[in-house]
Amino acid sequence: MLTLNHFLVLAALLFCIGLFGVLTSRSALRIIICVELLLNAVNLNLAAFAAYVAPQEAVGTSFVIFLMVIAAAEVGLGLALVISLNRTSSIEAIDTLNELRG
Amino acid sequence: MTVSLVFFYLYAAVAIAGALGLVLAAKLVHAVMSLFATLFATAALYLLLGSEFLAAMQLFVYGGAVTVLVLFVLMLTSPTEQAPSPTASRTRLVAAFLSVAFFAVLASTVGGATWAPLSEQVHTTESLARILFSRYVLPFEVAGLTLTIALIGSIVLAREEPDDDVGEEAC
Amino acid sequence: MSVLSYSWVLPLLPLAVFVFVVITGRRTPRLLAPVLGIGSMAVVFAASIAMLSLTAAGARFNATITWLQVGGRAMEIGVLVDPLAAVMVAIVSFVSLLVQLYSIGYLHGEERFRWFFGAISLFTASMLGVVLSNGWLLMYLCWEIMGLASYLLIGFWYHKGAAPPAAMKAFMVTRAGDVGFALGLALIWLNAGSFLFEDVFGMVSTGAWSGPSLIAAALLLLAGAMGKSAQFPLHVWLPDAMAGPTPGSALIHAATMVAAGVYLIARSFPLFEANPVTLTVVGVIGTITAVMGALIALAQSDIKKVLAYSTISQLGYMFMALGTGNWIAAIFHLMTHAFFKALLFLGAGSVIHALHTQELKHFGGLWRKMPWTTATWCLGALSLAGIPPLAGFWSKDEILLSALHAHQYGILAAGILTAALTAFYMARTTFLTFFAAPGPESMSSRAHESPWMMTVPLVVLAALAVTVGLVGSPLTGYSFFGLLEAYEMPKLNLPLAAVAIGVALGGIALAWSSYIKKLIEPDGYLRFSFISGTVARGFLIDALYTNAIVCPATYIAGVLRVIDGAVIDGAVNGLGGAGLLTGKGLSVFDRKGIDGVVDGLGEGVVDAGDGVRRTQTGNVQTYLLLLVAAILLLVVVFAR
Repeated sequence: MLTLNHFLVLAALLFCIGLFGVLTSRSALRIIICVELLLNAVNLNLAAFAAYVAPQEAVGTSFVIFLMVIAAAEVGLGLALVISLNRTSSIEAIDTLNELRG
Repeated sequence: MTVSLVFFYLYAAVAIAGALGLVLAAKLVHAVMSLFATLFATAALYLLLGSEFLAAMQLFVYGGAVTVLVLFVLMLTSPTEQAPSPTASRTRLVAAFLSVAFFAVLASTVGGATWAPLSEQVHTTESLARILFSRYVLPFEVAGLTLTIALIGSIVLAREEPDDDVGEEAC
Repeated sequence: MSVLSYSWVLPLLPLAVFVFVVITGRRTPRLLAPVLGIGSMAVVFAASIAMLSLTAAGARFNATITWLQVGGRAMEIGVLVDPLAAVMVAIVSFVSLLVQLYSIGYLHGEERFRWFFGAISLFTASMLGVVLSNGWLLMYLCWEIMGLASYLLIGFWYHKGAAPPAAMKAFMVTRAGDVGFALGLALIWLNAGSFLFEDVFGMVSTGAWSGPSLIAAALLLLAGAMGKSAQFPLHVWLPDAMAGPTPGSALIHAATMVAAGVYLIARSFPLFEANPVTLTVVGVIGTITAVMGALIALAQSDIKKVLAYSTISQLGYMFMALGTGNWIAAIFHLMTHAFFKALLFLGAGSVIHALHTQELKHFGGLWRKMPWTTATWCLGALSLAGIPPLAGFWSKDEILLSALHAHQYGILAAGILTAALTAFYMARTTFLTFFAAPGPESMSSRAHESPWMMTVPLVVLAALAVTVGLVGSPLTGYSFFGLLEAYEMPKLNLPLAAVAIGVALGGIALAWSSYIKKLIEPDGYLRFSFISGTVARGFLIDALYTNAIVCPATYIAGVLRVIDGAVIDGAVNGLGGAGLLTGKGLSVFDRKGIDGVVDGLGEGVVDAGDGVRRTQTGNVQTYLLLLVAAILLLVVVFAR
């Protein structure tokens, strides 16, 4: 029997893999696509909850739509940042950026 | 073991493999391709959940637009990933531990809960449209505005020559 | 649905003007901004007249919408139109209208001419929002917007040295009170579960909410009111706020910002009424402020500073009225004060406009050159001094009367003392500016009368300063009190009125004999070092704040900055090094016995420093790592 837990565990797994990627990647580009993976896992959660818990109303599904919009905006801005970062300092490795160093 | 369960495991395997590839692949191009695999598998999972509209959107927005955009940026910047820095291996170890622990916490939480089985009455695209354009019409418009602003922001950020006299006159 | 149901539009009109000015900047004709601002105010004022007549006939409007749904409970905001709101809307819109008309003349050569009208419009919009809201939540939102607008107005001449610090001071000091307001909001929500006046007042009147939490909530609201209404000890921002353009000062000190605090307490009066102790606190604060402000005003040499401390003193008067339980008298005094103080500020602005100085010693004998300004100013000053039948007399008398009825003889005595002081310093300022023979430093010969845009508002305000008090006098049957549904109509107490008039005349006579007839040495009392030193500098409260709060804070901030700058490479390593050095020194000193322990100590410190250093890598991913670890820890600990 396919249950909600299947989807939730899968989403958790995808989320944690993405988290690992965000924490360890040295490339800004890869961090951005890892963030996409995180959002994707959340979307999967929402869609699964929508289908199982409140199938009459498409509230969860509409949230997925909103998240997709936000993700598209985020990826657009993030990639623009990568381009301008690449142009101004030709730094690609993110861990060499330490302007926040105290 | 039902048919849907078989398909679920198939898609899940693709998604996980794609995610792992995304994180572990040496070349960025491969990572992007792995992302595409994961996104595709997620679209299939949406179908399994009875939400064909979401599946289509997933393919359009993520599989199409986002992946192509990332590939374009990859081409434009042609980055070369440096070798991991000396401290990186330890960071990776800590990050791996944290991620596994996070998953353990999440999975144990999920495992402890029981939910209703998947209902037969599946919501349709129509109900989604109904809710998007009635109760959530304002958030819908705001989301559109957000997207527009983000696009303008991206253009400003990625412009070749940053204009010095942008702020013409502060009133 | 009555026409009152559209009253929510009123604050949006000036807000739209502000948005328009911000967006269009300099691309519009120069006069468009004032025309729009004045036009919106004219509409609001006309509407307020309609509101007054409708509410006087018994109409009310109270509508609520749900703003947020939080945990099954709705946070509601809405609009309330009753006589109190209608009166306030009328005062605010009328004064704002005249101030804007006046500003066209006053700021004619100003570079940021349009922006001034935008800021004034934002200010007025926020004040209208405050008086029209039917709950504390919306009121607080508008209240904070008003704080921003005051910052913009006071800092209008941001290139002048005094304006930016003054703007910041006004913002920070009122913020100190606003923290109290916000906490009060939280207490109200916690205990009553609603922000709406009607709900909370219902709970208070039925006794469903009482006890210490009610007292605490009332006192916290009082803190917010003290900040905005410049009550002791949060009054220090108001004199500095004179750095803004004079019309802006007139608006801030007459009809909007400082009135907001009095209005807040008048509106929340059931909360205060429920416990006599809170009313006592209000009365004590008002008494201290009234006497203190009047004393400081005696010793000022700057015409705007005199008016500023006078405003503080008169606000203290209003708080005294609130403390005696007569909030209608406070609102009455607020109304008369709005007109005559706006008149005085605009009159002072007319003088400053002519001479480009604010020092009293530069004035003198101006009545020949500026007849309109002089005549209107004198009416305003007499009104403030409490000479019948001008407006100030009736409202001041009302406050003294309510103190007498409430058997608050301390407040009564302080009120009479303040009345005498007020008459004296206003007479002093008037004589020194307009009537005394010009002194050696006088620049009066350059003076000229202001253009009609400036004198017309003066004349209109003077007419009101003379007549508006009649609505609270026996001649009209106390119609103002009837409108606001007073439980009991006041009755003129002739002995008390005689005493008040007597001390006022005495103060004026003293000033006359001193500054005109020179029978007493002018400003002789300033030779006492206590008065010229301590009193003139506001009883050194500012200096106290500087020494007790600002300096230590700056010092700590500086120390923290040094520590912060050095903590990575300096302090921590230095500590470690020092530890190591100590350890080594000790080990040399006592190598035989305990060198292992000491070495361990030193190295331990070094390692600790090194470890702390490592957390500050500047690498966002490391921070993120720690963040995730912290979240995980929190989940594991608390999600059991």
